[in-house]
Amino acid sequence: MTCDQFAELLPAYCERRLSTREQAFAREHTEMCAQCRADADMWQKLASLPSQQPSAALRARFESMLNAYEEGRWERSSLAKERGRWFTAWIRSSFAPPLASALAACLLLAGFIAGEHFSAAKPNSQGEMVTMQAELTNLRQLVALSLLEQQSASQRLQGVNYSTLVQRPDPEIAAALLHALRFDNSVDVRLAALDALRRYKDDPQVRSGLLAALQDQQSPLVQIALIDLFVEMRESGAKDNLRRIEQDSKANPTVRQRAQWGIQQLS
Amino acid sequence: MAATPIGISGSRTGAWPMQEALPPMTNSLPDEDLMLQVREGVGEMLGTLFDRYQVPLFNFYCRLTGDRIVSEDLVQDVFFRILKYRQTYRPGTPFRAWMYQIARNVRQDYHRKHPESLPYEPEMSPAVTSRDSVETAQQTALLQKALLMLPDDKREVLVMSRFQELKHEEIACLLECEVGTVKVRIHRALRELRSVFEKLTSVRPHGPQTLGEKGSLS
Repeated sequence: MTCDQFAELLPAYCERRLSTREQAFAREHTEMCAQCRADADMWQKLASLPSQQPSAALRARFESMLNAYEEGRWERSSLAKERGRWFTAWIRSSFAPPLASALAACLLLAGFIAGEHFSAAKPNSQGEMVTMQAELTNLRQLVALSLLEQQSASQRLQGVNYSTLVQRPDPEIAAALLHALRFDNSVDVRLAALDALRRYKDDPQVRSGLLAALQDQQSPLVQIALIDLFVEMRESGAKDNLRRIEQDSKANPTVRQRAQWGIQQLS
Repeated sequence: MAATPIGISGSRTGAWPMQEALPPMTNSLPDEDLMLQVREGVGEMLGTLFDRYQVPLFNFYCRLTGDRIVSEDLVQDVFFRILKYRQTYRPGTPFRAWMYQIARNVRQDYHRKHPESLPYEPEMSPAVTSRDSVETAQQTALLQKALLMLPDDKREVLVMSRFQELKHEEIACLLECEVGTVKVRIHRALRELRSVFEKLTSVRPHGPQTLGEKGSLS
């Protein structure tokens, strides 16, 4: 057996998947050829790399995504009126994003006025109110989430602002904001997302998301805003991360100073 | 600052099962049948696929990026895309290959958006389990480091063939090349890993040198 032939069979040889005859030939080759023997050793050695377990948060995030999907479907099939469907299609289409946001604003306003009117005029129609409020919330959520997906930074910024109109804290919005905070290209959007996340700061998932965001944040502005928020939240879990920034010689000096200040405040 | 050392954050979670976690068989249907149902809109079937593949995919990304937090994000993104693009799954095609295609795209998109994350700093990635003896732990850490020092494409082909249980044919499909080419590429990657690993072990005075009696480190 030549080295080239052995190279082809190496994984199968190490996993003992070859025929008895081939296995014997291959073994014979390793006894004669130090290079190929070392290759086989290396392949075996890779097995020592431990397998890692993801955190429980991964499952939770997946569930919330799946829930959002199921809810979306349920909404479309049973509750949504023609308007909802048309609205969704309109908002999601890339043809008219500026119009879509303007329309979204109008609809929101209309929703507010209608809501106010209903509650003032017909205090008894409780069921109707609840339905309307639910629809309105869904609508706002939809607007916020749609805008957060847009190409232009200013629209994503609008999305962040809309998200603050959703009265009930919403996990999907929180996740979208966290995502924007970590991955959006625009510093403005990241800063706005951070601001909008303030109202979610008691949510443990958001807290851990914020901690994660500090790790990979490149913009000094956002880093400082994050540090300030941790101090405001009295998040002592941030101290390790802050210490890492403080000791990172490549980090921005102002950020390092702020991190040092943050550690003092949290200690 | 960008990277989360695998070892450090991993130890916080406590559990370190050594075996590649087997999928819990809550549902014994083949992947393809489950995916067909997802395609028809039965979203909860994706939960079973998630149970089967979250750990393999997470490890796939951990070994490629060395970063747990990024890896979790990427796994999440894979399942998001599976749901979003469920209609593009073609009945009768293997699910795993389709999923890994998505997984590779997710990673490429991530690197495109975060080019700064590419030249990885291996100093930050000691993957050491506390239960191991010091020597084995040191070996493992160096091996992890060596793996992360490989060029991206070599690391990927090695991880796919060694850890993801992908057949050469499947890898050939993913990389759009011949099976023979895959074999050659795996071997080249392995050789390079060996040479990086040997260099790493030889610069450490107490580094374990156990590459066989003839794996000389001159």
